[in-house]
Amino acid sequence: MNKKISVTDIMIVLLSVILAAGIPFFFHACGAKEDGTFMNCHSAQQVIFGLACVMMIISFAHLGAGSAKMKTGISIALIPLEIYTALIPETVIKMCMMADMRCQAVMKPATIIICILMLIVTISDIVYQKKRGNINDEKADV
Amino acid sequence: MTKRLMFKNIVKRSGRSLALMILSAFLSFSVFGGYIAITSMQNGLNSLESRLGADIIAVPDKAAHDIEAILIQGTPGYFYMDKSNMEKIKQIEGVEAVSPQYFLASLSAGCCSVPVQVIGFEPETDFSIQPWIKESYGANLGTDELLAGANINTDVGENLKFYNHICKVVGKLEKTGTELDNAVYTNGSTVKALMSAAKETGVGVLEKNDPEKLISSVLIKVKDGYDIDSISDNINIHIRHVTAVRTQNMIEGLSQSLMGISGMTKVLMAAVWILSLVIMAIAFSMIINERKREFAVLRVIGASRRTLAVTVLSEAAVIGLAGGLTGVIAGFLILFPFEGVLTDKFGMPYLAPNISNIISAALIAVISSVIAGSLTSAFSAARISRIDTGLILREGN
Repeated sequence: MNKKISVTDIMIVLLSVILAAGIPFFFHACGAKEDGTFMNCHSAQQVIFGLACVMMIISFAHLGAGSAKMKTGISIALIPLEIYTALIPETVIKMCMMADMRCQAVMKPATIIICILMLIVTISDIVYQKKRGNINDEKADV
Repeated sequence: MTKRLMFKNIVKRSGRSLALMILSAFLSFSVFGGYIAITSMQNGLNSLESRLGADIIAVPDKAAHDIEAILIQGTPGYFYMDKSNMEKIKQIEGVEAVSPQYFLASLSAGCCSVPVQVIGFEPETDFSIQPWIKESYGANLGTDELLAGANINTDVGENLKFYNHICKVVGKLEKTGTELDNAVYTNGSTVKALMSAAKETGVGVLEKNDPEKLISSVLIKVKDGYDIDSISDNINIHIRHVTAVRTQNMIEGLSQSLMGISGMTKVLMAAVWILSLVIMAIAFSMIINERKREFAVLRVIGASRRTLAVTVLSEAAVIGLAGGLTGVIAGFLILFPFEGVLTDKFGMPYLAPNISNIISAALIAVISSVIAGSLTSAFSAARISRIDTGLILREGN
């Protein structure tokens, strides 16, 4: 098994951990209302957290995977998750009414930026793994 | 050869290249971020000044702070005075035009738990809000129709409920970068209907009064040639239970804050630049010392002095370019998506500059980072072009 940890492996893990740990603690949605109930954005936070945990598990699997083909497959599986997670705040679940509320000012941009960065890194990883796979194939042929 | 050698050096010594790139990124980020932040605050302040529109705002006694809280700090609120005060103000010499405004703060609207400021105006007399509204909404507002400020997350055609009274959003206003973006705007008849609805739900101040006879403030335009301060004093002396506030005075505090923030940002930028330039110059000097033998060997195999100097300079320029781009990208990722957080932290109106200014700032930041990289390595490049090949190679033995 040709196991090699690349920068993209580490970046994918790092970004998914930042999203999973950041959503409940650092860039969470608005707090509870005075009557103790929550607004829509709280549901969005829960969904993003769930998806971020799934992405984190997948990214660790990506880190542990040996062959370039396996890594490519895992990266391809991550792409729809990243796109969907980026769409959750506002497009899938409507956020609160005012632009200066926490869900709009912090959670939404943080989620979108991390997902876009993950998407860029994942696509770079697919390109890199394809190259790596080709080199390995050439070596095997020799 | 120079190109290949330069790229190989950068890639092979990735740790060192990364450290220098991070320093360059700091340089370009400070230029780009500093410019965007200061310009945005200046734009916000200009926008606030033009949106206030009037020379003087007359409000009920003890509401001078409340009007600032509503218009400048964005704290929703309401206060009322008798409509007859507007007629009295109109009679004062030097007053060119007057227009009433009505303020009402909702308890909640839709899903949102925060109160929304409702601002009502009389289309027949208004000279403050309508010029701004016309930029994004051409028609006149009908009954139970309202326009949402840019920060209100609602779409045209949606209904908003205030005090169990449903109003239709017929347009969204252009962003002003001020707290006025957090309000909804409607005409006098709709706001009076909302005030009546609020009265029914038991809003204290409205309980004993007829909404038809109340206004919140009077916007005053002063005739040319008259002293605004004198007219403001006249209103304060002659009209009881009314306080006249000069809009210019309301903005003055913000102008001083802007000057303070702007000065602090410039000092920080200068500190970042001086530190980074010194560190980069030392780093390049150390790198050249470390690579003396490599350059001597290159000289022996035929590389000219100029080639060596160009190699060093272009390495620094490429690192500066990569760092500059990184700094600008980081600036884009922080300054624009998190605009709401920055506005909150600075406590100032904040309106991002237009796209051409943003692109120019990004280009200047990247170019200055490349120039800084090249300049800090220039001394080392000049030194390396004068190396005594024989002496250096002998030193190694």
